[in-house]
Amino acid sequence: MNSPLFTNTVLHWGAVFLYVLGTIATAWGIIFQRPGVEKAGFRLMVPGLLMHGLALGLRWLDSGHGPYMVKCEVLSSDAWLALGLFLLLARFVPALRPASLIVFPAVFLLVAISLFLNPAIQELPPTLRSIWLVFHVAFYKIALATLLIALACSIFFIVKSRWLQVNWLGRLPELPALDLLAYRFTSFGFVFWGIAMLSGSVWAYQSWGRFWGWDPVETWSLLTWVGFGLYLHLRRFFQWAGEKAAYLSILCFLLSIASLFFTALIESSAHSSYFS
Amino acid sequence: MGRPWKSLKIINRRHGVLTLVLLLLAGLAGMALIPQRSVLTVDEMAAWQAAHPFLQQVVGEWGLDRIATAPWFLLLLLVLLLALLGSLASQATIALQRTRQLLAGRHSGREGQAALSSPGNGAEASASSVPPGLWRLPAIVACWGSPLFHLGLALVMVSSLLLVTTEQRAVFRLHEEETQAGDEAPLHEEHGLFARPLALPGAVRLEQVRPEYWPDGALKQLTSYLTITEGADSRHCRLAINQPVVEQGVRLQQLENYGKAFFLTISSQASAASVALLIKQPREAGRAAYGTFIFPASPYEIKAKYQPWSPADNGPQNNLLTLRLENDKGVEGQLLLALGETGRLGPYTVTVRHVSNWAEFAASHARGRAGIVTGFLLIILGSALLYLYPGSGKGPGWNNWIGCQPFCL
Repeated sequence: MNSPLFTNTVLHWGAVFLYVLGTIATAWGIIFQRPGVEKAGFRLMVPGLLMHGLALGLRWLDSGHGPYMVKCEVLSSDAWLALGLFLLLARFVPALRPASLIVFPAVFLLVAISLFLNPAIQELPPTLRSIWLVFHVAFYKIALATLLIALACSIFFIVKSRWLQVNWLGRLPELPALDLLAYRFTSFGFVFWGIAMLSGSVWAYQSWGRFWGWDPVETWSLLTWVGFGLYLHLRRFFQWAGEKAAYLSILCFLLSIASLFFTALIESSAHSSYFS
Repeated sequence: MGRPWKSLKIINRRHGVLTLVLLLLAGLAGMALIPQRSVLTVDEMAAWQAAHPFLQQVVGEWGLDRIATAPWFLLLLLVLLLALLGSLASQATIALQRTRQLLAGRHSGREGQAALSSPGNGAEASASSVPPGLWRLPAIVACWGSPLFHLGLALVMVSSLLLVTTEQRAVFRLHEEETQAGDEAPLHEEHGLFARPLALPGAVRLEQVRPEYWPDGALKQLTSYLTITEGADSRHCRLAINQPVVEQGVRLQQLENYGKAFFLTISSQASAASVALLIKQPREAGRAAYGTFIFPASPYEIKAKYQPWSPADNGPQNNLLTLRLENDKGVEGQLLLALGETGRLGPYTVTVRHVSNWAEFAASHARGRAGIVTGFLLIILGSALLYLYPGSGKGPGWNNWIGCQPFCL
């Protein structure tokens, strides 16, 4: 009962409980136009985030390395960073708050899934002991968090433009603002994704003696980055906006999920031996 | 001037760039979805080809199984680089114009904001004035965010192309007390279009391999001690994973593949042969190590297995070797031997003479690394200037962030 894994699991479940309550309250507040309930929902997420952060911090101390070795800690830390970044941005950009309808459920689902995976601590292999790995993982997590917000804005754009008669959708920002937010966050994610890829290349050279080997994970990551580049190019030079831009953004997000979570499972990938 | 200049202009136009990006996407999608020779082993490729005979015909005919080294793909990257350089030139020109305007302080109010905004980028210009006084300096610096980002990208691309065309890399595998001569063929070798095969900085002899383990049996570090001999001169060096050594411009790296080498004498009534079985240790702690070897000049295959030592065993390293002799009829014999023991394996007598460790190393020489790291730093700097400058004359404020100078490509 006193084992670190037990403490970690209890803290995670506590965070999930608070996240679920916060999500319900926020959704209720937005849909039924109760600003007080919405605010309470946001406030509930903060102690959840702190509890979640404490769980990750304790695990970091126990394992001696960051949360990027085992699938459960990868998903958990992705969720924590996404939520932390979203709460920070929503504090200063109130127009983002309705995106909580997508971000909050995504966060608690990620944490819940991580709790059903093997939580055993894995020691860091010598190849992964490099500061470049920390940059590589951190930048990918930030990119994913911002792309998640962009996804929320794109989904809201499509929903609002098609179901204008639904009352609560009026609480969402205006369509041009949603469109612009999706553009901004996608470009932010694009930059961080590129930086993450480059830091991975530098780390690969340090560990394996080659910058780029067309590994499946590397190829899919570059494919995703160029996909987002296409989106930005179409917006910038062809004035793509509205629904077609939103659909393209969603497609690129799905590519990013495949790239981050599924291609590492391909056996021929150098990443698979560490993360399978 | 004339046609070449016009061609350059075409690739810099928006449809030209779009076409290039779509072609790149198609190439990358092909690499992601079609098995590539550079990624799969020969056996894996053969297995895929056997399972997909029709696809294999199409793929082979069009060279879709080696897109990364296809001349058209390299040409595409070159043209993209030219387009990027063109974009960089126009971004730098715009940034220079704005810098001059801001330095001259010619604009204020809405005129100033219009001067700060790029045409056609779809952003709403917020109604703010050109920053007065000291605030003008950050505005000037922020103008250079996009050009710096493009410069970083271009530098990374140029350095990558330089690296790919001039890179030399070789992988060699040694067991303890074995020497790789400078001119001996390595296990694996690759070099760029304009490079020769890598020459080692002398004969490399592996003196000792020392693995260290975590309490759960996972590998903590792998250290090798090498002696490099060139003529009468010899030098000792120590390699570990993520701790490379540079010898005469050649970078030597410890790779993570290692294991046990079992030296056997296999004799029959007619002859005797010395055989070395190098079996790779699995990454996962506690798992057995397996290897399959073709027994030369015979119809047999030898399957070998040993159980790597685990710290939990509290004992000496386990050098028990299990051998199985197979042919197309099935298993002809099985044997368990320790160091120094002799046994019968099918029609052969097998003796384990010696056991030692082996490891793999990479030797590489590449130009362009500094360019990639510099480009990386420029990308970070350019992005920071693009996103962290608030864009409003009223000082930092995240509420103004939406209206700030948008990301320009």
